[in-house]
Amino acid sequence: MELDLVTYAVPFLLVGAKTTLLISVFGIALGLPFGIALAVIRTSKNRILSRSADIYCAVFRGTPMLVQIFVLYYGLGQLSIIRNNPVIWWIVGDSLHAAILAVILNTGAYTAEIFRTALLSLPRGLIEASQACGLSVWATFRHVKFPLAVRQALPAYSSEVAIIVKESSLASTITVLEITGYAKRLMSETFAIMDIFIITSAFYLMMNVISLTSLKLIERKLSFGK
Amino acid sequence: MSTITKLRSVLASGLFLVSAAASQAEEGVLRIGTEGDAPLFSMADANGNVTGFDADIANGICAELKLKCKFVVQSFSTLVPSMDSDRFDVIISGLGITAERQKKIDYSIPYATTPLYFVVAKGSPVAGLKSLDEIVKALDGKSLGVVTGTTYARFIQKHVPSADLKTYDATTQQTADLAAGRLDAAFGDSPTWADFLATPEGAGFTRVDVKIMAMDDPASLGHGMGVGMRKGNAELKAKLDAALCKMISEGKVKDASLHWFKDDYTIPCK
Amino acid sequence: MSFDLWVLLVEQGWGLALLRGATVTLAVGLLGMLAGIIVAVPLALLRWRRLPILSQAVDSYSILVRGVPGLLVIYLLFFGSIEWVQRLATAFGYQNSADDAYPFLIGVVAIAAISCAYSIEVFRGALEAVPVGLLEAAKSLALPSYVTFFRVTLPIALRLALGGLNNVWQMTIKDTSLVSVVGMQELMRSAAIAAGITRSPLLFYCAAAGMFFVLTAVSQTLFSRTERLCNRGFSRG
Repeated sequence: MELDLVTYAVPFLLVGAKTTLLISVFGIALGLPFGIALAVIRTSKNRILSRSADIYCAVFRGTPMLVQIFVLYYGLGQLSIIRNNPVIWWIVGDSLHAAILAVILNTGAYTAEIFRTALLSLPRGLIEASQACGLSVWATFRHVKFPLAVRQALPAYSSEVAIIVKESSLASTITVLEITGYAKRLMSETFAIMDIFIITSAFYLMMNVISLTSLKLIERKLSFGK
Repeated sequence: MSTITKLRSVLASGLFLVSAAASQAEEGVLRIGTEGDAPLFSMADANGNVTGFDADIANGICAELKLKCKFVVQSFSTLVPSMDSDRFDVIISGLGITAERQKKIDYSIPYATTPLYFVVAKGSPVAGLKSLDEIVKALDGKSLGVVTGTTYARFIQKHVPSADLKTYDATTQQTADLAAGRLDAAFGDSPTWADFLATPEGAGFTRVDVKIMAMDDPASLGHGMGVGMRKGNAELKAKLDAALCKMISEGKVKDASLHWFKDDYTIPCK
Repeated sequence: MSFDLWVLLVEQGWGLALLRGATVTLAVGLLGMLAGIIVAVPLALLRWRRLPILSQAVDSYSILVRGVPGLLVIYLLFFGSIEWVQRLATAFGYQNSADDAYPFLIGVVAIAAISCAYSIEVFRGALEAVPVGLLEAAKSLALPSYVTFFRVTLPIALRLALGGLNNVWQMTIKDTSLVSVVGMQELMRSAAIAAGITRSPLLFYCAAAGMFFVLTAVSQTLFSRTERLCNRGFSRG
């Protein structure tokens, strides 16, 4: 009976896993540079820019992602201006695109906070030294600040990656059939709520163990000389 | 899958203890689990009081059994596991009686069933169709919305497999997407549609005149709504069945149904 | 429209219901975060000192809890344990109080278990980021190791951990929405009920978001103040 359930559920969940992977990979690939850019803007000297980036991060970190995804999908879908604009409707009209956008916007804010703290914690002397060597602002960032900040930020960022994979499950609330979407259908079909839930969790755990371990390896590689 | 086996045994031992502990619940109180966010069926107001068709049924049962009703409001998907954990004694939440669920819990006799309908935009080619077969053909490859976890979803998965099925967590989300034009059709129960079609967003939509009843396909739609209870409590089941049957014969279920739905959904007591 | 708002939020009392939900959210969040940090600090130290077996155990705990959906943690804790607690409570004659208090307790424990896993990573990262030079300097002054730890390592690590802890807190306060599965009406569940009954999902989800934002904005200000306080003597880069 239990084995039957597993063999029945796994093929569906595997199909869902592809979509979960798609959302996560796009979320990370676009959310990471976006977040780093936000972090740099937040630590910049331009008050207006840094204040607006601060506000953006406060709003997206301060409200639940479920609400963000609802407003993006159901909320904007109510407005006819949005429905009549083909470009915007391509993004929020399609549930998968809307889910990916929500993940990028959300993880960007968290990533920015992680990298901002990392950038602020860099030893002042190193930056002064690179300035004394005549390095340009960009070169200082590229060769001194960034490599050090990445090292400092990695443990927290690996948590963020695991969060992205799990939060992508919210896409199921806007009809995307990723792992959780299929799990909900399986639960309603078989009514074996706990069992399906555990199998589903095993899927998330597997994906996250892989991503956390690989990030740990990168972390170890980057912390040579310590 | 040793984790599952392990968990199963934990749950099983839990169930055993619960059945031993069930009699220790407060004397003279019937604890009722209900979802609280289903309009017309189970509505918890801002103070946590529950009204609606389900609440009327529950209060009627409590009156018959001379017990005090105590409502516990929880989301629909957690009702069954919570009842297993003795958070409450029965579930009255528009719970459809299906073979799958009967493996996990016991039911009273069915007391009501709601007719189901497809809803489409006015002017859709589906709007004028007269039979389920025609609708199934017309919806081939079209997007069709249904609320997940319901018997309706099972019905659609079985009968309209060629449609592009979209599943929602709540009726409000399903109707919002219908109104936004993301869906070609939606499937749900009569009260939901009466409610939606009366709103400004629902003005451009219409019900397809093909009435689907639980009796049409009991294998997926079940046998109507019943009161859910933990397995193996024959005494409680006998009491509940008697109370419900009396309420049905005296027309109390019909009154409640007419009051909330303007229609009689009662299933006669055999 | 403004009339509708008044009727919904005040006359029908949904505004008050949301506020009540917010109180539950705040209570569960604060207690969960606090308990999580208290447990996380010693665990992070174990991990940092790379004590054999113990540090692997901490690692597995952290990966396991961070790797599975939070809902599972609370499901297993709640549905896996309630029978035992109830039997214990009944044996001691506290049946009803256990009935009411237990979901809250489990809610806090589950939230703490999750926030703890994330806090461990934050503290570990911070401990490892303490500049080696400072430690060598302390050693060259012949400071005993506990003095080095309490006067050098810990203060600097706590300063470095603040940003990450802030992130964990922001996440924890929103994770509290998980406790609705054990029947507690926190903010998101109150909003969901109000949305379902009044059929105004957008209004109530936005209202809930607004309340979450107020909660996090206030805590954000407190965090920034603390951060500034801790960064005295460190010029901003």
